[in-house]
Amino acid sequence: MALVRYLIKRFFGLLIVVFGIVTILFLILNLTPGDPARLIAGIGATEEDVEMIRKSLGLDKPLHIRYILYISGLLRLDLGKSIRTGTPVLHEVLIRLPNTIVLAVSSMALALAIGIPLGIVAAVRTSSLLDYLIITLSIVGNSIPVFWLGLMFIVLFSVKLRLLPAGGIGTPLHLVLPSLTIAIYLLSYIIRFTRTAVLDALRQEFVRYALSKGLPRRVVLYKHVLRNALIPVLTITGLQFGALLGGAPITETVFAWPGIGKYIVDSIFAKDYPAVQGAVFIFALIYAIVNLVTDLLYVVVDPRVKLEGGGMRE
Amino acid sequence: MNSLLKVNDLKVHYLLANSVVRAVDGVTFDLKENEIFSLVGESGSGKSTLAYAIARLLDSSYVRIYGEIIFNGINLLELSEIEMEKIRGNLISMIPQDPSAALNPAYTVGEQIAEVLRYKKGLTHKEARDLSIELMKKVGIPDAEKRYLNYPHQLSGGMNQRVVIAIAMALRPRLIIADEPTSALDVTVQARILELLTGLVKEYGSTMLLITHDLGVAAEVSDRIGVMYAGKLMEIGSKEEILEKPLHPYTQALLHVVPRFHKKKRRLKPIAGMVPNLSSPPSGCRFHPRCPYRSKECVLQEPLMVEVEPGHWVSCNLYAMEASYHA
Amino acid sequence: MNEVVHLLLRHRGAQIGLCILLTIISMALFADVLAPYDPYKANLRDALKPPSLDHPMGTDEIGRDILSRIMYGARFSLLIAFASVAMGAIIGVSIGLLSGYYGGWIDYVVQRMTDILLALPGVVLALALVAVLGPGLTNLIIAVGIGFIPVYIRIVRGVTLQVKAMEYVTAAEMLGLSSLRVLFKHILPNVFPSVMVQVTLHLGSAVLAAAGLGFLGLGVQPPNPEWGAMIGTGRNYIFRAPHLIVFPGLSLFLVVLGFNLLGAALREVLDPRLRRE
Repeated sequence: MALVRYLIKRFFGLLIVVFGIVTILFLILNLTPGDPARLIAGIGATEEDVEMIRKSLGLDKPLHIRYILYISGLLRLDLGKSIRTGTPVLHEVLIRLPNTIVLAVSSMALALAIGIPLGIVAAVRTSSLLDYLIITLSIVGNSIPVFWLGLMFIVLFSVKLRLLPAGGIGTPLHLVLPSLTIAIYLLSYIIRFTRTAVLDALRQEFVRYALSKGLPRRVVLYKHVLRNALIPVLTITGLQFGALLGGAPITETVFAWPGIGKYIVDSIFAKDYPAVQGAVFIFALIYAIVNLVTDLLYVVVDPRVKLEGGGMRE
Repeated sequence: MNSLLKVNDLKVHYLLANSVVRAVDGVTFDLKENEIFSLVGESGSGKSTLAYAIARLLDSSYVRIYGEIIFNGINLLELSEIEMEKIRGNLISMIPQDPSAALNPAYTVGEQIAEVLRYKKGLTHKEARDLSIELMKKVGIPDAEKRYLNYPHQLSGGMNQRVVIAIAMALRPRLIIADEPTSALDVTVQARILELLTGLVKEYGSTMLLITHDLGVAAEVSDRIGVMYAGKLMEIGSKEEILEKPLHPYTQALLHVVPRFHKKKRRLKPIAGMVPNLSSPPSGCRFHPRCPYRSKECVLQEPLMVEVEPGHWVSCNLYAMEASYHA
Repeated sequence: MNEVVHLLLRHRGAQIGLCILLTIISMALFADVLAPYDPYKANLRDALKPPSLDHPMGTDEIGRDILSRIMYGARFSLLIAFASVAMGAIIGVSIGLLSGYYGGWIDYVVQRMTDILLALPGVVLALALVAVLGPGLTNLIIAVGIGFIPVYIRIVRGVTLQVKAMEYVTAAEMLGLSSLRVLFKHILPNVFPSVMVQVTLHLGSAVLAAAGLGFLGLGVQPPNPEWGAMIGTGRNYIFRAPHLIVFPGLSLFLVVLGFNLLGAALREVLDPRLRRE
C-alpha cells in the first residue's frame, strides 16, 4: 500500500519536472532574439522564402498558441519534424537511443567493475600508501577533460598502435575506446564514493557485533560491511548515469558514435531547432526516469527505507 | 569450584591524539564456573571496555592492552586473531547493549542467527534455518517461522534483544558477556528478558559476566558482584556481602542512592562530584575527591586490594590499615 | 577563518593545487610579456612543426606558436570559469537564502524550479542555450553558469532551514533585528564553508564545460586561442601532428586538477569529520 502511494507520488513529481523541462526548453528556443526562420533560410534567402519557412514551422502564430500546439503534439508523442530530413524527430531519436544506451551501460559496467574493488581496498587499507595512491588516481581521473582523453586514446591505440578503430560503430571493438574513456571519468566518483561508504559502514556497531559472533573477518567485510556500503553506492551510480548522459554530446562527437548526443550537436549546427528541442526533451526524460528508478531500487535494496516518509532523497 | 576466567592486572589504554586514556587500569578478578558475575559501575567507569577487551574486540590501531586474560587456562592476549576467531561464538559470546544497532539492518534476523550456525558449526542452509527457528522459539519469539524473515527494524527492541540472546546461545558457549543487555528496554520488558537470560545460562551450564550500571539488575541475578570506579575495581564480594555489608564508601554511596530494589526507579543516581577524567585520573585513591571519609593518605597513597573476609575484597585505605593491623 | 587558511597552507594537496593555479593565473596575467610570439600571427611556412627549441610546443596548422596560444588561452578559461561560477553562486545563494528563510509558496516554487533545472544535465542545458544565444563570451558564461544555480540553492536552503530552527535566530528576531539582517548575520557564515568548497569544485567543472563547448565549435570561436577550441581544430590533424591537441589538453588537465585538489583540501579542512589526526 505504502509502495503504491509512494509510486504515485513520485510519478506526479516526475510529471511536474518533465512538464517544467518542456516549458523551459520551449521558452529558450522560442523567446530568443533573432528569427529562427531567417536563420534557417540562410543569408541569400528572399522575404518569401523566409515567410514560407515561418509558416511551415508554425512561427507565424502567437507564442501561447505555439506552446499549446507543441504540448498537444507531445501528448500525441509528436515531437515535430526535423527540418533537415523532414522525418519525425521522435523516430530519429529512437533509432539513435540504443546506441547511447549501449555506450552508457558498458562504460558504467566497466567503471563499477574497476571502481568498487579499488574503493573497497582504499577503505580497508585506509591511510596506507595504497589508499593514498588510489585517492590520487581518482582526483587525477576526475580532472582529465573527457574529450581530450578520448582523442589521446585515439592517437595511441588507433594512430600509433593501430589496434582499435578510431570511431564509428559496428563491431564490439568499436565500443572499447569510448567505454574506456567514459569509464575513467566515472571511475573517480565511484572510487571515492565506495571508499566513503565502506568507511562509514566499518564504523557501525554491527561490524563489531558480527566479529563478536566469531565470523571470520573476511565474511564480516564481504557480507556485513559491503551490503550496507553498496546501498549508497547504488544511488551514486544512478545519479552518475545522469552525468553520463550529460557528457554524451561531447564523447559521442569525439568517437563519431551515432547516439542522441551527437544528434543534438549535429542538429545545433544544422539549426534544426525542432530536432534539438525534441532530442533534449528525450534526454531529460531519460534522466528523470533513471533518477526515479534509482530511488525505487533503493527502496528494494535497503530494507530500512520507510515509504511513509515521502521524500527519499536528502 | 574452578575458575573459568582469570583477569590479572588488566590495563586498557586508548591512545588518543595527545593523551592516553587509562580506561581500565589494573583490574584483577576471576569468574567461577557456572556463576553469574556482575560488574557494576557508572558510565565511564571502564566496564564496557573491560568486556570488549576480554573478547579482544577493541580496535588495535589505537588501543593497547596489558596484563593477562586467562580463559580456560589460555591467555587470550597471546592468541592470534585467527585463534581468537575460533573462540568467539564457540566459547565466548557477547550480548550487545543495543541490539537495534548491533544487528545488521540489511539482513533478516533469521539470517543473522543462521550464519553463525553455518560458519561456526558447518551446518547446511536448511539445517541452520531449522535450528535457528528452534532457537527463536526457545528465546520466546512468537511466530518464529515468520519472524525469521523479518528485518531488525521490523521488530521491537525486546524482540531484537531475544534475537541476540538466541545468537549468543546458538553454540552453547562457556562464557557469555552481556553488556547492559536490558538498558535499551523499558522496565516491564527488562525483567522478562533478564529472567530468560539467566534461565538459559543456568540451563546450558554457562557462565555469565554481566556488565551493568544498574545495581538493581545486578542484585536480581548475580552470584557475585564487582564494583568498578574510574577504571579500577573498588570491591568484590558475594551478592549478599555487597548488598548487606558494603565496605567501600563508593559502594555504600551507590546503595544509598538505590532506595529499594524491584522498584521502577533503579538507575544509579549521581553521587556528588564527577566521574574523573581518565586521561589524568586523581592521585592516590581515585574516589577520594568524592569520598566522605577521605584522609590525607587517600590523596597520596593508592590503596591495595585486601581480602577483609574470605571472598570479600575491597580497595580502600580504611580497610588496608585494618588488614595490616590484623596481620 | 585564519585557522582554515593556516591548515590549508599546510595541506599537501592544497599546496600542489595552489602552485598549479598560481602558475597558470600569472601566465594569463602576464601573457603579453611572457609569450614568445604573437598568438594570432600565422606563418604558413612553419605550419604543423613538432616541438623544437624555437617552438617548445610546436606550431599549429597555420604556423602559430602553440606555447604563446596556450598562455593567452588561459585568459579565456579562467575568465569564463570565474565569471560563470560567480554568477551561479551569487544567484543560487540569494535564491536559496530567500527560499529557505521565507518558506511557504516561494519555497515551493523555487524547489520545483530547482528540480527541473537539476533534471537537465548541465552540458545539455548549456548546449541548448548556446545554440540559440550564439557563441559569444557572455552567452557562454551564462550558459555554463545557469547549471550551477540549483546546486547553491539546495545547499543554502538546507543550511538556512537548519539555522532558522536554532534558537538564537528566533531570539534575534524577537530582539527586533530586521529579518534581512538576521539572514546575513547568522546564516551566511554558516553556509560559507560548503559554498566555498562547491565554488572551488565548480571552477574546475566550468573550465571543462567551456572547453567542451569550445571543442564542439560552440564556445569561444577560432582564431581565439581557447584551449577547447584549439583541441577541436587540432583534431583534424590528429594523424599528422598530435602535438596540436596534447598541450592544450594538458593545460586544461592541470587547471582542473588545481581546482579539484584545492576543493578536496578545502573540504577536508572545513569538515571536521574528515580531518585526519
